[in-house]
Order: sequence, then C-alpha cells, then structure tokens
Amino acid sequence: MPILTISRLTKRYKSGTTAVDGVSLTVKRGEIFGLLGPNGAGKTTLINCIASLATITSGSISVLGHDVVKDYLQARSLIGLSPQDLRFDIYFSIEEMLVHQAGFYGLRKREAVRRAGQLLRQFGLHELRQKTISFLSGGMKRKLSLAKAAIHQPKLLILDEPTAALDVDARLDLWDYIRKLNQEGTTIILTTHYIEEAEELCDRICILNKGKIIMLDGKKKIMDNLSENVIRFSLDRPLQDRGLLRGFDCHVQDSFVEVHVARKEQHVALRKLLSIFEKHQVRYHNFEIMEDSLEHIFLRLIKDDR
Amino acid sequence: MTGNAIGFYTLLKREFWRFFKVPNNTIFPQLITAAFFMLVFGIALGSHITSVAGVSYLLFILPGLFVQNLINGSYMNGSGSLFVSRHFGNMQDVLVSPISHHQMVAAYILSSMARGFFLGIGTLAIALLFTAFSISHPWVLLLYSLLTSFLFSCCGIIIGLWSRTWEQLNIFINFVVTPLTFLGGVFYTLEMVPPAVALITRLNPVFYVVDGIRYGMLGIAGSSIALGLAFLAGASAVLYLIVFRLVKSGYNLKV
Repeated sequence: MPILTISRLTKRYKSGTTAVDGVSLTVKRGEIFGLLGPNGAGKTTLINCIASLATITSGSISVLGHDVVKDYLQARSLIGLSPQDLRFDIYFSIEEMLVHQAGFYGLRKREAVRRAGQLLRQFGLHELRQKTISFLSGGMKRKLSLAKAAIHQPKLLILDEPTAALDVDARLDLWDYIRKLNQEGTTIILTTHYIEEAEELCDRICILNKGKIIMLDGKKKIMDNLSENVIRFSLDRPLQDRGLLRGFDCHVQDSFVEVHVARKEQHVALRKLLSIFEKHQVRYHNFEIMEDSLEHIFLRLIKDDR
Repeated sequence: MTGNAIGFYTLLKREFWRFFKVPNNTIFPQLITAAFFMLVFGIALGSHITSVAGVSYLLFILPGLFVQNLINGSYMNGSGSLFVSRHFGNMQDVLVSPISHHQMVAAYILSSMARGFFLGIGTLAIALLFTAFSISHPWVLLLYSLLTSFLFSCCGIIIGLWSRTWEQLNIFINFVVTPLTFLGGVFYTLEMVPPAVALITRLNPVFYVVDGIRYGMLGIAGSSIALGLAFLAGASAVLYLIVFRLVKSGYNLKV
C-alpha cells in the first residue's frame, strides 16, 4: 500500500482560484518525493490539504489507507509537517514548544523531553532551549520547525521549503539529516525552490504548474528522457560550411560549435559528428559534453506549459 | 470523546499555563480593578449606605465583582488564545495534530474556565482583606459559576475565531460584555434605579447570573434560581454546539 494516495484532488479557494486541479498521485513508502513548481503552482496548497490545514473541495487523500477527513486522527498521527511559513508559539521556550508538540501526538512527558533534548542537540539548539522564539535566527527557526515535525517520528514527513534561509553548511547538514531519516524508514515529501536539492535528494519528482501535474516520474527517468546535453567543439578555425551540420540542433559562433542532443542519443550523435568532421577535415582541438540539469529541464517544462 | 488523551491533556495544560506566562496582562489588572471597586465603592461610598437588601454595600457588590472577573477571565482567555494563535500562526500545531474536534474545543473551554475561576476566586480572596463573609448555598454558587464561565468561554472562542483584527476582538468585550455586567445589577438593586434602567436590567441575562451568584453567596435572590440555571444550561449547550461546528468546519482556522 502506498503511504500517500491522492485521488482527483481539487482545492478551490473562496476567491474562486483553483489552486489544485484534479491531482492524483501516490507516494511509495520509503521514498523521497520531490514536489517542484513555480510560485503559485499549488505545492503548498497540496501540502496543506494533506496536513489538514486546508479544506478539500473535492477528491480524497489517504495516508496508509486512512482518509485525512473521515479518519483524520489516524491519518494525522502518521504525518509530520514542517511548513513553509515559520510560525511559533510566542509564550513558551523552544524546549517547551517541542515537548508540547510531542504531547499533541501522544508522547508521554518523559519521552517527549528525551526526544526534545535529542533533536535540540541534533540541530545545535540545545544551549538555547530555555529561550523563546524571538532569540532565534531565521536558520535556527527553520531547524526548530524541522525538529517539531520530526519529534513524534512520523511515517510521512512533509518538508515545505526546508532549507530556505539556511546557509550552505546548514543546508548540507540538513540534507544529511533528511537522508538519515529516510534511511531509517521515514518517507519524505519535499518541496523546494533549489532544484539541485531535488536533484540531490529525491527519488521521484512531481512537477506542478497551475495546480496540475505536468510531470511525475523517477528522477533518473526524467533526467534520461528529458535531458538535453550540449556537445561543445572548439575548432582550430571557424567552420566554413555550416551545411555539414544539417539535421543537428546546433549553434555556431566563430570557431565554437554547440550541438544540442537528447541525453539518450548523445553517443550516437557524437560518433556521427566526429565522422563528419573527419570526412570533411574539420580540425578541432577540444570537445566537451555539458550535462543538462534538472533545473534546465524544469524551466523548459514550465515554459512549454505556458 | 475519541482521540488521544495525552494530546488533549497537553493542549489543556499549555493553554492553562499560557495565561500565567503574562500575568501583567491576564491576572493582575483584573484583580487590581476589583480591589479598587471594593475600596472606592465598598468602603468609601459604601460607608454612607446603611445596608442594601439586608447586607453591607460591600457585601452586596461582592458577588457582582466575582461575576465580572469570572466572565472577563473566561471570555478573554477564550477569545485571546484563539485569536493570538491564529494571528501568530501557531494554531497550525494543533490543527495538524491527532486531537479530536471535541478534545480541542474542550481544552480551550476548560483552560478559559480555569482563568475565569482563578480571577473569580482571587476577587473573593481580596474581599477577605476588607470584610468577612460566608457562602450561603455553595452548590448553587458552584453550578452558577461553572455554567457562567462555560458560557462566556464559548462566547470568547466564537469571537476569537471570528475576529480578523485586534479591533474586532475587543468589540464584544467593550460593547457587549462590559455594558451587560455594569447593567446587570452588580452595583444596584432594581429599586435603586429609575424604571427605565430597571427594565433594561430585567432584560439583561447577566442580571440573572449576578442574582443567582448573589443567592449562592449571600442567600439573597430576586428571581427564580432554577429558571436561571436552566437558562444557563440551555445557552451553554447551544453555544458549545456552535463552537464545535465552527471548529469542525475549520471556520477561519483552515484555508
């Protein structure tokens, strides 16, 4: 059974805006699932529907078979959420906040205090445990939000922009922590604006635009099928006869030739190009293959969907 | 009630301790105001009034002062807690948790009642500095106090859910609760005021609350105690259902 099943989910706000439009997807147990999309694509709304922060207009969501509306207590107990907007209790210390959060999920006081201490140490916040939220920097708040989401060891951890406002070191630490949680069996749904983060962490990726899924597949498959690599030749002298490259998607400038090829066809294309250059005595002193990135694929998909 | 008991208890405890975190906002002002009422009205002015309904003026106003703080504490905790949690966004901690709608409502109501009782009992404790008194009908006092506190906790929660601004939050306390308590016979009997004011007082439900509490404390009553209790119980049940429906539907809680 998938850990998360979303069927024909639609969320329409009172304003009339349809933020999520008939989305259906499943998230498998144990995977890191990336939700990507431009601003306003519906990522956070989708997450809010899963986590009971938004009402559902139509369709259904279930977590390990528990419907998030009809069977909300069981469904919620399986989910941990670190939301995009960082909002905290202003009255209590950060340790008290974590202990309360654990208590909401049914952890007894002693266990809650132990887990809070463990997470505060994990995220380097232990010395600040008696402070209120106003003493924490943006990055610290982000870590505290993740600690709150993870304190009851949820089966499904939803991280909405988890590394926003973090410096590079903190981001890498957090990536390690996310991988560790995942290796321990936690399924993770991740939204991010940092495409390299999705490329680094995710097993499968769902790209949303205007509330609809425009791509959902394994990261490797997306990269293999949609990557458009560039073979770049540095010629000894400018190319005289551009007709030689007829049939290739290429760009020629002075003695540089850039040929765009699908990743899965790049070896065939390279052999063909080398053969043409040899046959017509086109000399080159160097060539390189520039790998496409998920970011470029993402941008092309979004552009095509406009 | 289904759901997790630890979750409910945690929420109740958190809401209970919240008002102790800021006592200069939630506790001391109301108690100091009550002390001033006793000092100025009870001692200074009251010394010129021989007796009202057979007791000293200070004793006469004491049940009303108790009711004022009971109502204010219950109402303000419910409204303030819900509104502040929504305003600062930490309400989402509760909304994503496996705490049932009934448990959530119960925790907010009970914590609000706790603040109301804390302020009410504090008022009586301060009164002991000025005068001696005993409780005539403890069960009547307890029942009236519980139902009144419950009712105004529900009112507070409804306003806390409805309000979108700090100004809206204060509308009900400034323009409804305060006038109702001052025109509820806290400081006067119906015979002491002009007929028009007496009529307004008779139409004011808080008058019957003050009257019932006064009966519980001093044994003086001008209206039916049983009818008053029945009204409070009925109104409490209706308001609980309203609060429950609002919370269940996610009214101003979910997007």
